[in-house]
Amino acid sequence: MYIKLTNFQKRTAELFLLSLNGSKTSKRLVTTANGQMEPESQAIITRVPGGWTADRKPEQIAEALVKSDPEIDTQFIGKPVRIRSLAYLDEQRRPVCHFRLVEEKLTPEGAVKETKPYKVSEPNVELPIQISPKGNQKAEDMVQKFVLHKIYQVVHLDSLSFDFLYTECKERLQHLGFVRLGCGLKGNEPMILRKEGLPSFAYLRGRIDGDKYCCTLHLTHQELRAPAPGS
Amino acid sequence: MAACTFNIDSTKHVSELQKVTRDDLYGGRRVQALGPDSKPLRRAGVPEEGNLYLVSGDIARTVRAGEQFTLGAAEVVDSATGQKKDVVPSSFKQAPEFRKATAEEVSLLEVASVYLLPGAHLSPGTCYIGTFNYRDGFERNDAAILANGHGTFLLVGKLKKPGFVGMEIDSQLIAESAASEEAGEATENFESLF
Repeated sequence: MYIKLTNFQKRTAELFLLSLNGSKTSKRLVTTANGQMEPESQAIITRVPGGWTADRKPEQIAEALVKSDPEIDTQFIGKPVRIRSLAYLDEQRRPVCHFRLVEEKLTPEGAVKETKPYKVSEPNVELPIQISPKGNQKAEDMVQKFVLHKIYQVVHLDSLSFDFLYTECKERLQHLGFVRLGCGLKGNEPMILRKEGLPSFAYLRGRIDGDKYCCTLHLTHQELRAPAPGS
Repeated sequence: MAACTFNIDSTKHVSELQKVTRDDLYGGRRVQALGPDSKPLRRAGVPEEGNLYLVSGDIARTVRAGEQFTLGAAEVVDSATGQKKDVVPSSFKQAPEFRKATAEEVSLLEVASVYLLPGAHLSPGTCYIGTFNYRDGFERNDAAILANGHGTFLLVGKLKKPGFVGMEIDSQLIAESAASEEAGEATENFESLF
């Protein structure tokens, strides 16, 4: 993912967020008549929509099969299926064309606190991300206060962005600990990396070793604390 | 929940685990579709053929090997060597070891789960690092135990190892990362609804 980072001098560089997820170290194998194969997950239809098995539990289906011998629709049951789009159905399982989406905010106890029209959260990293002069954290405070749920490595794309990032790490970031980043037009919004993503507080960490640098982006959307009693 | 024993700096601590999620702290959110009469609607998936509306429970997942479905037991092997992988036992069966760590080390843990350890009383500000597997599995999970003013917490996830980067970065890294991102988006289909 490409980002633009603006420093205190209002200089901006285009950089890249490198995912640190390593490749999988293991794989599953199933022995078949043709040798060992990697199995794939496949969705199949397990009951005919609106048919006699709909809304029945497996034991109720088994009981019905024993008692009245209804037919299993072999045309549908077990058929591989690939879902391509989404629809909304009413109580009679009829598709509804006119609907509205609402977002319900819940309290930690599960009660509805607020209902409002649903608005998709859009990523806000297309605009330059600004290094904030406020909210810096020492490493000790960072891990004691927040749960870091995602870490990316920030890397340069060309010699200009290398100079920018290396200098930033050398002269500022490595002395400041975790530096808060701000997004949006005013540079005061939390970061949303993807469409429908949760807003997260973003912190940048930079270190240098000789003529190399290591710059990481740490995202958090949770404090490290216990829930209130009763929730 | 069952209690787990932790060997923290060669001292045994026994505690239950209480999972702490974001919803427990701040409350959750849910999106609902309402019909013209403001009654909640049911979400359904439409398959490629477009002739069915499938709701939760109408489809299930099976395992396919090649062209055929299979119920055969899967064997887990190392991707690189092809050797059978040993099972990593659950930490409830085998007490995990934790050693003192710096905040810098812990800051590279990408956390997937947070648990409160009400039975472990450590002095606030201390950090320990080790491994923790809630269930038996084939991948070992990294973990940290931290104590602050709110209690003692177990954080489980994966330790990331970012390297130092010089001027000549391997552009292949960026190309691979961008490609995997695109592939990830393409596979985010509606089947995840179920």
